[in-house]
Amino acid sequence: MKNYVHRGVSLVSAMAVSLAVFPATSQTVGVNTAVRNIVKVKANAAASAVNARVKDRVSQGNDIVTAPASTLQILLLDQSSLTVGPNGRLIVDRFIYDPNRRASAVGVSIVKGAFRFLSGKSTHANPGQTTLRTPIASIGIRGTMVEGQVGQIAANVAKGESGIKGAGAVDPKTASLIVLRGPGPNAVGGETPGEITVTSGGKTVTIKTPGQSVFVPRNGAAPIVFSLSVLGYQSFDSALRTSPSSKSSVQRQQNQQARSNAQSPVRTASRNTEPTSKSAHGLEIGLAAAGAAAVGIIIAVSGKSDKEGQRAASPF
Amino acid sequence: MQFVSKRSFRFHACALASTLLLSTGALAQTDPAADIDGLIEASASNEATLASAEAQVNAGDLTGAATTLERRLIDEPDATGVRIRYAVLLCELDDRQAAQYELSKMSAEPIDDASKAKIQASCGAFSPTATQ
Repeated sequence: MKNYVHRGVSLVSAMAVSLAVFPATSQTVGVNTAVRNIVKVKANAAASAVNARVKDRVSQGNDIVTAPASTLQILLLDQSSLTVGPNGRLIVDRFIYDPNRRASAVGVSIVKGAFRFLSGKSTHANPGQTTLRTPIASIGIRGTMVEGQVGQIAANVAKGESGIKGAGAVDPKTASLIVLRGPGPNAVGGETPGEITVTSGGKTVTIKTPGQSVFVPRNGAAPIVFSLSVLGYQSFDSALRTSPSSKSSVQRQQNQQARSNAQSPVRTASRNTEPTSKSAHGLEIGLAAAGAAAVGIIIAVSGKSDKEGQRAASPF
Repeated sequence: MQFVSKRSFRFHACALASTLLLSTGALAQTDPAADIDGLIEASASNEATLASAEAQVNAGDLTGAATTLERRLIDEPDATGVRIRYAVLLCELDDRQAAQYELSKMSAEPIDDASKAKIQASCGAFSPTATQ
């Protein structure tokens, strides 16, 4: 009996050590670091959705939905960041992190909406373990800043992209558009240039140049590589970033003008014009050739006001 | 039936307590979620956000700094100083298209000479012109 007691105490001790390494939050894969307006989280299929709050833990299998004019930023435990824009939905499928080896394996499914992913520095030494999935494409990530759109938003943007050739039928529920944002080859501080691979329809393409993009129009279709236009970039900016309130009304007007330009026969010429806009602070904002993707007129639109977002219907 | 002796029980109880204490200490030092809580708290104001991002840049974590600045801009879109630093950082990450967009959003905002100089230094492509 004494041996049993000894073994029991030893077992409890071992469990205590285990709890230290794999704490009660072992299913935790990240933390909500910013929540704008309405974001709902379901822990599993049976659970009811609850409002996401800053500092809430994100667990494997969480089903996350953002309402219109809403944004969520998550930091995964390896400090990779994932931002999802309005009308989005994502599920964290897989996350394994070993802080001692500074290695992680990330698997996230983006069901719809716009997203931005930045690899955590701790994973740069062991790249190649991060996979983002859309319903019809798989994105492998290596030390990268990448953005994407899934569903109707991607289908809408693709319509305006003259660089997309031979797309054929586009499925507005699953169409996927992915763009590599960086780091570019001229990044400072020893940042490794970003790289992504996109696989769909049994074919894989590798993207190494910021601004280069991939469109997958439907299930089973091969990826189409193209350069994202300014209007395409605008759609990402308005979905994933904010603008100062002083700029919003002006930008909306510019956006409307740009859309009408986009529907006119001179649209292509307009989009390829190198931008130069004098600002109130005396900076001429233009792009030099150095490493820059082709950029046209400057337009950006902020999301709706908080009040508008709060009126939005519950996504669940 | 013989049960464990008092001495043996005390020994194992002490061992268990020590283990729990050590493991709690280890947990406090290595919990990655707690580290992230710290990052959130370190960006509770514009000034703190800039300081936190600068520390990340100095540690060579440029993408981490970008995430910190983006987080603040989600909460405070009118944080001009944060947006300027974000644009500069995007230039440092060689994402000039995004940097240009961020700068264009501030065309109506006052920007001091020091900030202009930082923009010039990192985003050399953005050349100054005569004002108004």
